[in-house]
Amino acid sequence: MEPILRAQRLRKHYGTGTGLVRAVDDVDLDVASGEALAVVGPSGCGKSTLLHLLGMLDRPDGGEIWLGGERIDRLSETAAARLRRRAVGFVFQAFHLVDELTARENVELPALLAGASPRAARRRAAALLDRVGLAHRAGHLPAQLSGGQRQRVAVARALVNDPGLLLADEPTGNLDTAAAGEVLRLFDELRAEGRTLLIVTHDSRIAAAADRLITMRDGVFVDQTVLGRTGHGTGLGALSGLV
Amino acid sequence: MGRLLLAFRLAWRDLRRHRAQAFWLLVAIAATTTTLTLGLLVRNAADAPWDRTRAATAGPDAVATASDARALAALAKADGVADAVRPFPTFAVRLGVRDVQVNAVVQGRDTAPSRIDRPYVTSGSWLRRGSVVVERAFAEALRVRPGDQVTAGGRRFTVAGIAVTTGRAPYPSSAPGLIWTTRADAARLPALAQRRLTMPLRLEDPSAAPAFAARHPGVTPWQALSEYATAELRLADNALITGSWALAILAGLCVALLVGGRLAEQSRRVGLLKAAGATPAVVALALLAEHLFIAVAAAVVGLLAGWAASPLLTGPNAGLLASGDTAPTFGVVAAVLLLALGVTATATAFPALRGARVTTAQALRDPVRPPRRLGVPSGLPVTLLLGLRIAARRVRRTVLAALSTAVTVAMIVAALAMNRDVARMDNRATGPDFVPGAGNPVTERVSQIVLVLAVAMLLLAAVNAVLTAWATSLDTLRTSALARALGATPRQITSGLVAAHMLPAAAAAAGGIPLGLAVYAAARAVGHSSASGHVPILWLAAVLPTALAAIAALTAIPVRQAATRPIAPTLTTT
Amino acid sequence: MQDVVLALLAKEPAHGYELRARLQHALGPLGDDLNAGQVYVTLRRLEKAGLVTVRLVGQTDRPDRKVYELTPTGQERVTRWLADVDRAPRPAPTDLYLKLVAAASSGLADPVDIVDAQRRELLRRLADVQRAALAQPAGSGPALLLEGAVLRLQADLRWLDACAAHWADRPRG
Repeated sequence: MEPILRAQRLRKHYGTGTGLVRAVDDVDLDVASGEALAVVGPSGCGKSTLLHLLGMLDRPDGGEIWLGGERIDRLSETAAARLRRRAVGFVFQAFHLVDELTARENVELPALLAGASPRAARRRAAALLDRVGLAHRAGHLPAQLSGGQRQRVAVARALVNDPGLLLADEPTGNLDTAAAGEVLRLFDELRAEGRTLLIVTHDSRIAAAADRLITMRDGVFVDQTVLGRTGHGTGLGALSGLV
Repeated sequence: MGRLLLAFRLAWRDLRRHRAQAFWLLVAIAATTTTLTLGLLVRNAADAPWDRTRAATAGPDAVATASDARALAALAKADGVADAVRPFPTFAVRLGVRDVQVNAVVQGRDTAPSRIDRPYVTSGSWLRRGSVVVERAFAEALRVRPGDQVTAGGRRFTVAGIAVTTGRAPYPSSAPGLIWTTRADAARLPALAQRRLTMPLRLEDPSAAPAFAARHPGVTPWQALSEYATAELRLADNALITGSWALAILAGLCVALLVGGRLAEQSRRVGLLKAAGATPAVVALALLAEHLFIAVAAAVVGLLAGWAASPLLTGPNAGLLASGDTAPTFGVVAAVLLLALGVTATATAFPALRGARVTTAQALRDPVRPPRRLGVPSGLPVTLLLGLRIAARRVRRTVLAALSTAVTVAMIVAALAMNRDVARMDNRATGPDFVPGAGNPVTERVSQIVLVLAVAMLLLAAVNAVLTAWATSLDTLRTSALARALGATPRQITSGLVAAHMLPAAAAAAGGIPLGLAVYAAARAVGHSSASGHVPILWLAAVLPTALAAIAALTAIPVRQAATRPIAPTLTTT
Repeated sequence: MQDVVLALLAKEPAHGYELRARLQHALGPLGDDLNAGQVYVTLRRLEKAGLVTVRLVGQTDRPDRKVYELTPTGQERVTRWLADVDRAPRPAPTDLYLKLVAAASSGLADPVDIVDAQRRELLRRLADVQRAALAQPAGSGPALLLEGAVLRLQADLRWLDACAAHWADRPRG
């Protein structure tokens, strides 16, 4: 099956000489359509840079990126923006909601940017806010929402254009356990729906919700774990030792 | 003491880190101080040439004109008159120089120097039979020199010399221009109109000359002559002082914008300083010290530049003797320094104090202000909506930028109105009394000054526009990076922010037009000018789109630059 | 205990006293109650099982010392042990730690690889527990119970990250 996202010999270095940081060092990656992939690793291992490169927020120093069969690593700023609108949704650690806009307006934003009519954007935003359980907070500004609520708004915003790929950078990084649980549930539902997810995180819990897990260290992939959806035989019986 | 040192160290480091900003601040304040220096120097210089010339020519305290010799003889014996000389026959003739024909006033004089009103010969020699002496400003307009041939009343004369006088205002302030002949030659010349007599007077109390003139018809006091003779310097002075005010407002706005932008950029730094134990006073002092340092530097630059440029403006017209030195007096230095410091301190103090008062936690937590919901309708294009929401949150900056636009447009309108009046004045200065083709030194100088002021003002306004846009794009760095991550193109971001900028700018520019007309009307009222101040509606209509186009272009530059920066670093550092 | 002692002998032959000192050095305060007898009992059992051999080394001023050495069977068992992933519901930290120390000192395996293998195991388990937890309605009692299991596994995983960072920083040996 053709991967929806493919990166080959992807490279991004910062600094020079002794200060050289190989943030992403000749990485190869294939993400199948409908797959939920988590990239884990200690902070500074290059996983956020990788996400930025794949989402065209940053330019690679070398290598190729293909999204849905289209080469994207050499697109102009404008072309990249146009592609991002319809093909990629982002969820960030710091939520990155637009402070000046209400929850509903934040969700509408990418739809309006993509040229949806105000009415269509409004309808989709309302449906998505309902779906993330925040229909009653639609008119609130981000400052008036809790961290978990903000991140759920951000997820709704990432979904508004129904992108083929959802990129999440430490989506639970700024949240307490309960709020992280809300967001986790949401991502698990998205996975179950068969959305293609790429989550970069050092939260093992959200990583464990993925189908496949890649460990990154010093700019390279060092380990890979496939987490079968049916479990691999541990069974709940084995859990009794844990509780 | 240590705290002071800390404040100055912080100020100095900050200056070195933001050289471009410091430079623009310096330019803005220096433009203002230069103009003020010029204005003050011109004001000081206006009196000096007159006094010099009056002393050199034994200038009269009053000048009486009559057609009846007996009336003048009676006047010579009137109360308050200390001395008088034999009246000079005075009448108009047709003067021919090369192929130019122009009216001139002839005064018949003795070949011996007069006790009162003794023209001071600056080149050539005083009268001989068959020769004329030409008043210097008139001579310059005619372009004649000693030795040239002229005709007066159809008779040929040689120009013996060129002289200045304070018995009559120089050409073209009083037209026709003045030439002197011997009394004998004067008697033989055919007059174009009635012959009159002019008698210079020495009064017992020169300062009471206006009162004396009021009692005796046909008498002009020296004060009136002086005012008339130095009219162009006074006009120039008025233009410069008005210009300084406008420039001071613009420079103040410039400082305020810069400080506001810097605070937006530095609020985290301020928070860190305060977390490290700096008191609000130290923080405010550091900002203030930094800008006052620039202000002092700008005052020095302005004084030197104004002094260097002053000969261009303070040289009197050719009708008076130049005064040698126009060095700034202590008063001028103090005034310029005070203006620079005042403008800067006022513009800095408010935001600096506010920045210092923000709680430490607030400053550290988030550079973004708590959002305020203002009635911005949401049915607009999405990037314009974003831009407007951001502008609505930056009320102070929006107001400052709008003020800058309004002041600039107002001053441009005033300059246009003045230009029209000057042109109209020039149009009126034609006819048999005026030398065809010769410029009018009075209006030429004023036009020059207005042009220089307009250029300085446009420069400052441009700096303000760029600074506003710079501060806005700094504020919106995160939001626009975010919007781009969500699929907004750099062009959408730029056009949205610029469009959001243009709405208040358009309102301000529209308001600037009546403001400019009002300023000019007030200036005319103060100067008792008879000018109409009328500006064609079409011109006013043209000012608006031109100003807006310029603002849009200037705003687009920094905004566009910010909108094409890589997204990832911006999103990860906030 | 047997596997740890065997692994410590993999690098080079040693006598009982040395082995005990190495263990105590690695364990710090936790090794204080490790007495010499425990080590010697373990060594005797290993000898009986044919995993180690004993050689007497003469000393001039003292009685001869016993130096223990791995047999090929012992070598095989050490390798197997190092490659083996602990499948216990909650692996004891000390066991894994000693295995990592032994792997590092013997040079027979990369401790980071062992950590990665263990992490894979824990992640699979975490995924299972989590799915079970997510299948429960939010806020229910069973969900709360499973939440406890999830948090413990997360704690273990975090410790594994610390182990990986510790041994990634220093070259093995």
